[in-house]
This record gives sequence, C-alpha cells and structure tokens, in this order.
Amino acid sequence: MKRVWLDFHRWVGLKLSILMSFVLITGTLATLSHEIDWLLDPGRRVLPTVTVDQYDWQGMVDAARQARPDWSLEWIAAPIDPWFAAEAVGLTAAGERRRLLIHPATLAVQGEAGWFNAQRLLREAHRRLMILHPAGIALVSALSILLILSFVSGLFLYKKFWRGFFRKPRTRDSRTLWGDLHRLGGVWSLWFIVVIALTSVWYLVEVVSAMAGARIGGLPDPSPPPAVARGVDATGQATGETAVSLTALSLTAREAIPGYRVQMVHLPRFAGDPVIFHGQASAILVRRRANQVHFDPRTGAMLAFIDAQTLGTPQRIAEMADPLHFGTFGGIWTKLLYFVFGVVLSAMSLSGIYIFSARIRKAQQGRQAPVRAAAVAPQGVSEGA
Amino acid sequence: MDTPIKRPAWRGMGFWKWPAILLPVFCIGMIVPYAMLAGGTNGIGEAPVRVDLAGCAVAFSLDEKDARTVMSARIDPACARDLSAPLVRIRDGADDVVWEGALKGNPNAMRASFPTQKTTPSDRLRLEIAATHADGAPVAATWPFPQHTP
Repeated sequence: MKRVWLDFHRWVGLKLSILMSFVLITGTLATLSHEIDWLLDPGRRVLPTVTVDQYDWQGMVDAARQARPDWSLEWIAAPIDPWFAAEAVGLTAAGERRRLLIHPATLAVQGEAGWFNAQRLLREAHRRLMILHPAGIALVSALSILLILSFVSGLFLYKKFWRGFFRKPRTRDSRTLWGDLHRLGGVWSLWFIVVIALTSVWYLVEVVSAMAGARIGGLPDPSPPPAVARGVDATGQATGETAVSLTALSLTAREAIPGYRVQMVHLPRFAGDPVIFHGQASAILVRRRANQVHFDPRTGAMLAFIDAQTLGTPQRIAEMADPLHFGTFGGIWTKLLYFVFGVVLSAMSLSGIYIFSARIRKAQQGRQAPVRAAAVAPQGVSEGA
Repeated sequence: MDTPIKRPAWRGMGFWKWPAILLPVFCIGMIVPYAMLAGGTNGIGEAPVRVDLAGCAVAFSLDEKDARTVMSARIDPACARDLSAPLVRIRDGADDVVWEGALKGNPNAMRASFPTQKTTPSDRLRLEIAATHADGAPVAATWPFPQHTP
C-alpha cells in the first residue's frame, strides 16, 4: 500500500512541479511585495515611523490635488504599517494610472510612482501567470487540487508523522538529508498547506462560477444607514468633487459601524457617485472592503453601509480568503511567518524533484552495477565472488 | 559501456513538463508588455471613434464576441467627474430605443455589451452615449451605427 501512495505522491508532485514551484516562489515573494517596494522606492518610506490615530483624509486629498491638479483621483489608501506612506491613486489626463506617496502626518507629497511596481508584478504573476483572462486565475488556483492531493498522499506515506516534528535530519548522504528535510518541512507546514490549499480552492470556485455567469460570495447591497447618522450640513457644490470634508465624514462613519477604522477612501468617478469608505471594525479576518460606508459627496449624508458582522456565510468566506491566503491579518509578523513557510513549501516542491531524481538514479545505477561487474570480471569468476 | 543517467526528473515529468515550463516562460515574457500597459487605457484611448459629450472626449470601439457586441469606451477622467455614469442606447430612428444599458467601469475602461442581433445594419440605427451633467442637464452624443467599422 505504501508503494501505491508513494507512486501517487510522486506522480502528483512531479508532473507539474516546475509550474507549482514557480507559483509557490512568486506567492512567497508576494507576501512581502509591499515591503520590497518600500525598499526599492524611498518615496514610500516614513522614517522615523509615525502612528496616526485619525488620518486627515481631506488633507491628503488636498495635498494630492495640489501636487497634481490635472489628475482625477480615484482613491486614497492609509499606510499599511507605520513606516509606510499613504497612497493616492489617480488617472492622468492621458489615462495613465499613477500613485502619489503622502506622509500621513505632515501631508507632504514625498514621491510619485507609476502603477506598475513589485507588488503588481508579483501579484499578477502569482495569481494569473500574467494571463489577462480569468482562465489564468482558474489555471493557477486549480493547482490547489494538486496541493491537496500531495498533502493527503504525503500524510499516508509518512507513518506516524506527528512524531516527526523534532526528528533530526540524517546527514548520511545528500538524498537522505533532503528526504528528511522534505518530511520535516512537510509536518511543520501542514497548517500552512491546509490554509493555502483551501483558500485557493475557494478562488477556483469563485472564478469558475464567475466565468459561468454565476456570482458567489459577492457583497450584499449596502443597507440604509442608521437614522442617527444622517444629516451632515450640505454645502451644495454642484460638481463631482467632495464638498464636505472627508475627515469629518470618516468620523461620521464610525456611527454606522462600531469601532470602525477607515483605511481607504474611494472618491466619486462620476457625478452622482458616492464617496465610499473601506475599513476594519470588529469582524475579524475580513478584507477592508467588507466594511463600507457610502456618503453623498455633496451633502455629506450617509447613504448606506455594509457591516462585515452581518455578512452571510458565502460572503464571509469570500472576505476571509484574502487575509488568510496573503497572511495580512496580523501585520508584518504574520506576513513574515507566511514568507518563511512559503520558503519551506517552495523548498519542498524543489526538494521533491531532487529526491525523485536521486531515487531513480540510484535504482538505475543499482540495476547497471551487476552488468558492469559481469563485463569486467575475468572468465570463470562468478559475480558474487 | 557505462551509460550516464541524466535528468530522471525531467524525463519523469513526461508531457506535462512542457506546459509546466511554457507557462512560467510566458509569464516572464509578459512582464515587459504588462509593465507598459499597466495602469493605462489598454488601447481604448486610441479607439477609432471619438465623440464629444458635453465637452468631454469619449473614445470607443465595438467588437463582436460570442453573438454579442462589446463596447469599450474611455472618457477623460477629470471631465467625467461632472457627468453621471454614461448610458448607451441604440436607437432605430429618432425615438425607438432598440437597446439601452450602462457603461460600467472606471472612466478609463468602461464596458457595455449587447446582443448582436439587436444591431442588424440599418441606415436608421444610431448609437447614443447619454449622461446627466452635474447641473442636471441631460447630455448625449450620437453616432451612426455601425458605420464606424472599417
């Protein structure tokens, strides 16, 4: 029976191992892609670090508009960590999407960058292999099935695997060492494989259903706001610009969702569009878009909101998938943890190829050895002599 | 004769090694084109038809896809803030609306699609892009349809 599981594990792990390794390596780097951009672009750095309790959203919009008056701002995102700049994204008159990097405390525009960066590169490479069609996402997320099959067959293959957490790798030869490291990495990565594989299966379900015209896990229509939160004074500006201070609106948004912390502001793209705040509140493990508050930009009236606590099961799963898959739910520390286990998983994929090669090579050498011995042996001397 | 044993893993992958290696190669090869396109209008800005909608430049193209006609449009993003999200109408003559739908997406890359059978070529057909200005006035731009096609 062990032989069957070994063959199965080998078959599943080997056939697409080059593609699997590529996806695992790009995914591992993607966990720290914002940090890579932080290293590459001085404009993204806020040093010394600053912790801002209440972001001046209006101040950031004003700073961006002053720096680039010809842009149409699309959104502003709060710094992802205290050592990052805030980001204002807008479209130039020529239609190019670009970023302005703003110090969250001084509101100084400290840099400008194009849309393409390490984060976009790694995200698109890992998520869809740069295939600009949903089939690319389906292709990559379908590898989750191989990951699950490798996981299950690996467990059957490694008897009493729970005893392997602290087993010291043997250094007898290279193949034994890599085999023991492969198993050691496997047992320590069990939780990580489960998280990555299951969230990837969800992405597969999402994209396949979307390609088939169905919508699974989409956010519900926003609810009308609570009565107490209505009625910020109108200023009556008759354009698509926000006429009421975004900073004041962000404070009002807290009335709709208890404990709301705004992390992103989507500005109106057309006249009549709402200003939409995204952020985090009491619901754990959700994307920031799962908590939304919509305002009329001209009057400041709250139009609607979504509280992640009220989401149904498929919606909640959809909103949980990204934080769990990206490792962003605990800030830099969980991202580093995911990076380390991503390295382990990538190494397991590569070491599996090596172990297979070494095993086959040894077996073939074993078969050839008697033939060689017979060829060089003098007449009358038997092979075993 | 001692035959060297080479690349057993490579051989063990069989046919699958080719898609497994070609996909990452494709991905790496796409980095430069993607970097050039990223954040841009994906060619919509250079679309063959240009109309003026209340002073805002609108560029669009129409493509046949699976028995549907897909309209890709772009509107000057700064100018778009003074207009409501545009609607697309196909009119037969002055009044009869054959089809109406929203142009969805951001001003840089808007999309609408309608069944191709609705648009049997006719001299009477007009394509209309309509919106409401922030001051409340309706605005529209029309184009003979489908005479824009090369």
